[in-house]
Amino acid sequence: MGYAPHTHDDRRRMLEALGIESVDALFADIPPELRSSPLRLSPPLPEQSVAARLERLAARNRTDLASFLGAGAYRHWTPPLVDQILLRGEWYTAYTPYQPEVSQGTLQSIYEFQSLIAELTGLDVVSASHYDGAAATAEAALMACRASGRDRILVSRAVHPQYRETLRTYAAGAGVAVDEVPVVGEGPAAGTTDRTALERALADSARPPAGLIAAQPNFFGLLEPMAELGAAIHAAGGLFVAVVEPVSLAVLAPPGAYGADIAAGEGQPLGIPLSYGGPYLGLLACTNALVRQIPGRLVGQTTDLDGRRAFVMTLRAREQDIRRERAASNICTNQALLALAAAVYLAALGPHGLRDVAAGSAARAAALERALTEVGVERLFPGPYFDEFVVRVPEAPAVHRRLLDHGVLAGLPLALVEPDDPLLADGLLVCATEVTTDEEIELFAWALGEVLGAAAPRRQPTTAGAGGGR
Amino acid sequence: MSVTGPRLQPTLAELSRPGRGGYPVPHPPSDALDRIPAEHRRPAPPGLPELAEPEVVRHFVNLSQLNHAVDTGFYPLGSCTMKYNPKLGEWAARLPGLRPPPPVRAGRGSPRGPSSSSGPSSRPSPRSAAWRRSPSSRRPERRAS
Repeated sequence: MGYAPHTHDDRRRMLEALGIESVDALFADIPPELRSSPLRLSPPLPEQSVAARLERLAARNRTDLASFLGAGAYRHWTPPLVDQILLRGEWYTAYTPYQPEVSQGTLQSIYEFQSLIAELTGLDVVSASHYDGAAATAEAALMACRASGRDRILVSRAVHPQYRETLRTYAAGAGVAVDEVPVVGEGPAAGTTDRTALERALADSARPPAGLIAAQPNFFGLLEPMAELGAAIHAAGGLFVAVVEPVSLAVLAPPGAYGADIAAGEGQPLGIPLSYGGPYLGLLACTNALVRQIPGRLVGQTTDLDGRRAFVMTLRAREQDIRRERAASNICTNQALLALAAAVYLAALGPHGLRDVAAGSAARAAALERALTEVGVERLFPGPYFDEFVVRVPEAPAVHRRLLDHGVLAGLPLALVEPDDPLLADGLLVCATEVTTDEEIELFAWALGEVLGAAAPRRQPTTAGAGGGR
Repeated sequence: MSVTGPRLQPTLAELSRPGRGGYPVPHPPSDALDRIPAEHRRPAPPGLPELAEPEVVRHFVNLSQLNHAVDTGFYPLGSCTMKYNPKLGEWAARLPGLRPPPPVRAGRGSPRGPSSSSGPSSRPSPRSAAWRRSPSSRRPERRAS
């Protein structure tokens, strides 16, 4: 089965119409030395052989693990209707529907997506999506800089480390300084943004901050005093950016309620598979006051010449295809098909279904905490959490590897992502959601008890070596 | 000129009726959220639409039919020209083995420099990255009761 429709005769007639002898003649203007050498590809395989090969490759990945990994991407049940809608070929359009006459389906689906995320976040304006949560967060920082005319961003170290890495990359190109606000090391607020340190950072009058980025729940799963953080940055004349997890917004106070000017987040939990880290869905929302600063497509409702409702892209002067140098962003590629997945997911679950998913996740996480406590593994930070928390596990990276042999994907050892932070050296970030079963929790707790029990004395480096050397 | 044709669709919000539909999610225990302090809680569920499954399916199928797409015809639109994607790709992208959780591995950098400065107990190992099925890996064991 070929993918190109032209027959030999079709090509001959097209060449005749053009008055040339061969397809190569189309490239005659390119000097021969600049042309690529012939591609050395292996011969094509029949589709069934390709399929069999892909199945063999896929089978080499383990799908049998009891997973407690969250850290920014979360397992949830996706109603099968979501994927059935996504499989309809009518959605395979350009992500930017420049011609509304032939794109009302995509335009309305984006409008629906924007409306649903606006309900979740409690904010007025939602973009048509970005690459992922990290990209949306970095864009939020640049929005704050443009809106305030300042060039310094404060970000809590309780924001996902990979988001902060993306933020630094964007900031370096934009000439923006990124200052990190540490987390509290001990006491009841341990693991949350250090407000004393924040006050010090805000007091630097030589370079006032454009904004503060904090996450709710934060990277360690903890709930931050968002209203207080927002009040502090507002008092310093900056904007407040909340990094949010959308399923949690069914039960947690929305950014619009605690004074956030911008919300950014990862939309993957809304019906999008984990897929080894992507493609995912960047969410970005803001107050109406910032509508001219938000990057990406915005779809609005209007009326056509016959007075009927129609959907079109709007406020286009923000965009790079209109004003390249002064655009709100030069990355307007988005994830329209995954935004559609999120819209279908939210429409399918509805307000009560999503609330049950969120509350169910919180309940399973509490069950996980109880089970781990029973084998002597305690939380590292005592504050309230949603569906994810950090436990103290000496030699966490080695223990994590050994638990894979027991069929458990034991979350994320924080030493892997924050190797220089002694506070986090023994931290293991674990998560449970509504799909986490009693059996998985039981297996994790038992296996962790086994591994830690066998590791005594726990601090010996040889223990780590044995764990990694299978 | 009319841009929408005869099949204009209502929005989800217009289709919604309080008490209708809602996806059958298992109900969590009624005290599931009690441990979350009130100041962090949302007072009422978000204003999402309430629809039954067939309404959601019909809505999005009807919307899809308002599109011109690469699967319905030639799509020669400027910078966003669409090329046909073989359906084998859609099939392969849905193989469960190609949808595992994200990799657990050390980040490429931290604000304070590369990870090699850390002590032996926290040294990240790239080998922890993937959960490829190795010959020695065992199936999950269940607790013998």
